[in-house]
Amino acid sequence: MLTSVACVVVGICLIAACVDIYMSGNKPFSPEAVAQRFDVIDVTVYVCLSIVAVCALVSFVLSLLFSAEKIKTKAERYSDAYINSLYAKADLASCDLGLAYVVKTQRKKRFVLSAVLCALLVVGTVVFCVFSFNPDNYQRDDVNASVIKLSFAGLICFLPAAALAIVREFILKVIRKTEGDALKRIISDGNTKTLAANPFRQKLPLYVKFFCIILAAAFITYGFLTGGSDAVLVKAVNLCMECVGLG
Amino acid sequence: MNKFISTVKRYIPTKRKLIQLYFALLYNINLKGFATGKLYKGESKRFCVPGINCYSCPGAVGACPLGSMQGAYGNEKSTMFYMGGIILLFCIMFGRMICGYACPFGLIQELFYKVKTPKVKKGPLTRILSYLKYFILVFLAVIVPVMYALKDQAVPGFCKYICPAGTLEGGISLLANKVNNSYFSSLGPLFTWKFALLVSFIVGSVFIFRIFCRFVCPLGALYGLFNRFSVFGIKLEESKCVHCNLCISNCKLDIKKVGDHECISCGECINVCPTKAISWKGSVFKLHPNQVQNTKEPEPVTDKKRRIVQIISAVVMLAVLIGAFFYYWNDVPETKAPVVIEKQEEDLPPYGVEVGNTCMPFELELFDTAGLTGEKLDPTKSEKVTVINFWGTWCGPCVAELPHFNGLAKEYGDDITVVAIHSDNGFAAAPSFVAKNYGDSPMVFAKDVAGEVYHTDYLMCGDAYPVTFVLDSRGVITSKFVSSVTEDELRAAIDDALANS
Repeated sequence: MLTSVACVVVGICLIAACVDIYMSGNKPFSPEAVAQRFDVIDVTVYVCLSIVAVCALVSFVLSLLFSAEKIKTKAERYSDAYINSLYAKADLASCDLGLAYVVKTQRKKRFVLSAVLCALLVVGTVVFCVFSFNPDNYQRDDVNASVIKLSFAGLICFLPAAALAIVREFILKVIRKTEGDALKRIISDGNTKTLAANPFRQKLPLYVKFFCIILAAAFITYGFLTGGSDAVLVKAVNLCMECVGLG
Repeated sequence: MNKFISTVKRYIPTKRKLIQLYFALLYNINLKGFATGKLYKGESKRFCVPGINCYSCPGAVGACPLGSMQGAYGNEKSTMFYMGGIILLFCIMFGRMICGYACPFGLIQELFYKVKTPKVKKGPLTRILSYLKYFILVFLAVIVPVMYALKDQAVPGFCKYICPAGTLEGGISLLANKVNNSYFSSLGPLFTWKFALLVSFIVGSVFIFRIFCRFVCPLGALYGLFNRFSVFGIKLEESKCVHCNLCISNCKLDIKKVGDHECISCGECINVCPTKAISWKGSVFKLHPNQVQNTKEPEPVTDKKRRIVQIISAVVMLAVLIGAFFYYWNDVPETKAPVVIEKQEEDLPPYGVEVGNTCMPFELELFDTAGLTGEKLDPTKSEKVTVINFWGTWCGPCVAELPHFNGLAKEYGDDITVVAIHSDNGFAAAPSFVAKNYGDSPMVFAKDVAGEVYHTDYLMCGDAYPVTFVLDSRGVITSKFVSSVTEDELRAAIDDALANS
């Protein structure tokens, strides 16, 4: 939960900085707008900023998608051998076992995802700091300096949150045994109600579908009406030799 | 007779193959383009097709989503919204089902896989390799085009360095037509690399199922991320699943679960599932969530009803295909009547577009940093050595070589005239580009005129960009370069023309 909150706060800060630059230029990646905002900072920083911001938000979204129920959170710490032994003892058609199987595969996925995202975030942050740290920027009093300061502050909060996410995955292994006994008791008692589905999680795919369809339609409509398809047409009707490997 | 029928039945394509073939034909329905060797330039190319189909294919009637996406980074913001919306729509509606049903290059790989050879089975190594496409998506399809966009150059990293569909459908299709013989002079190391890649993918697809789709395709990587949420596709009902893993073992792709990011929704797992836990999403076009427990069984569909729906669908699809064929066959671009040509002087070589011919006179409108000036110019009448370059702001190699022309124009001063003719398509961005980069350049900037087919299209000899001609003081072509030219080559050509003048 802490990781998710930290991710969304930092993501919003970084996205705000990126949107500010995006709105002020005539192109998505406008060197003039970046130069105006950051002065001595190389435009590469803007790209790193964007990547870090996207990673932060993706991490939050993924943590929502793969978040588990309380019992699942405990169950996912079990070893493969333990869960396999549960299979042998219980009914294969049981919803509990099905869920335990899903949880088991999600456990590995979450760990890999956490590790990859945290690695990306750390690398992006280090690159950002190496290229952009300039104490002179903190002397500026205008709004842009505030955005920069906020971005730095957000990053400083985010690094510990990212580290916590990695450490959490390892710490959980230590307490596996205790909660494994609890799950064994639940399954042997045949108590299926403890695994009641979260209605929000059930309907999440539907919400995502509707949201994405509406967003796509809005983007296409806006882009088409403002002449966005002209560039697509120009690119498609002219033969750029090197672009097809003939150059 | 029965043996003959059973033999024939073995070779009848499956429904999925027929659908793949249908889409491959529909995307490239401008069959006239293969005969003429020219690209289709109609309005339908504003819209993207879902699968990978190079828009430089002479038959292509739509744009490629991957190539357009890479080109959007350096354009106006509205282009990014437009392309972002299109790709998001494809992702959320179909996910990776597009790969299984609507991608021509996927069809080509599956056809080659039918060759009877030992096959490479999937395993941990192929599973690891399947993540390579995400790296290619981020690096070649995003970072490289963005980095070049920051320098005002349009370089689609994936299309330029990897895409075998572009090599096969764009490059080889164009080279196969003798109208484009001049393109052979521009072939270099890049074509060698891309051709070798194409051959590798084709040979590899004989032994490995869909090698390009599994390990390389960035579009499939992007679509796969939305497989779980797509409206159409394959779904697995957990309540019915007994985890026998027959679906996974029968699947030729590197899936860990039916419907995950590697699944192309081909549907072959549906028949092998013993508990009928696998079915199609959106089969009644309802946007319902994936339920853990079905509380209501669907109404059974009779064979007769199913057959009627299939026949109607086939008739409609066939009608669309035939209609599209006739539409594009009869779609001839408007051309103005050719301008009356002045009588050629007798001591000059005949008019033509090759080295040694006299360049046909043609008039262009000039523009500067503020836009069109209203002045006209005939580059063939300058009475000094003239360098004519056809370029476009949307063309990365064109933009990359413009500094050579600018430098040589300054170096040779009044001895030569350098005329940079921008394409009619995409001209709106040209004045601001010139203002930003070549505000004090001695080059003359002109606008190509659409519809003057007899002159500029004739001179341009096709659709290639960039193209450079060097004329001597009499207007005779002394050098011609199709595709990029280096500064040294240009300098040598100018010196040669000066010596001839």
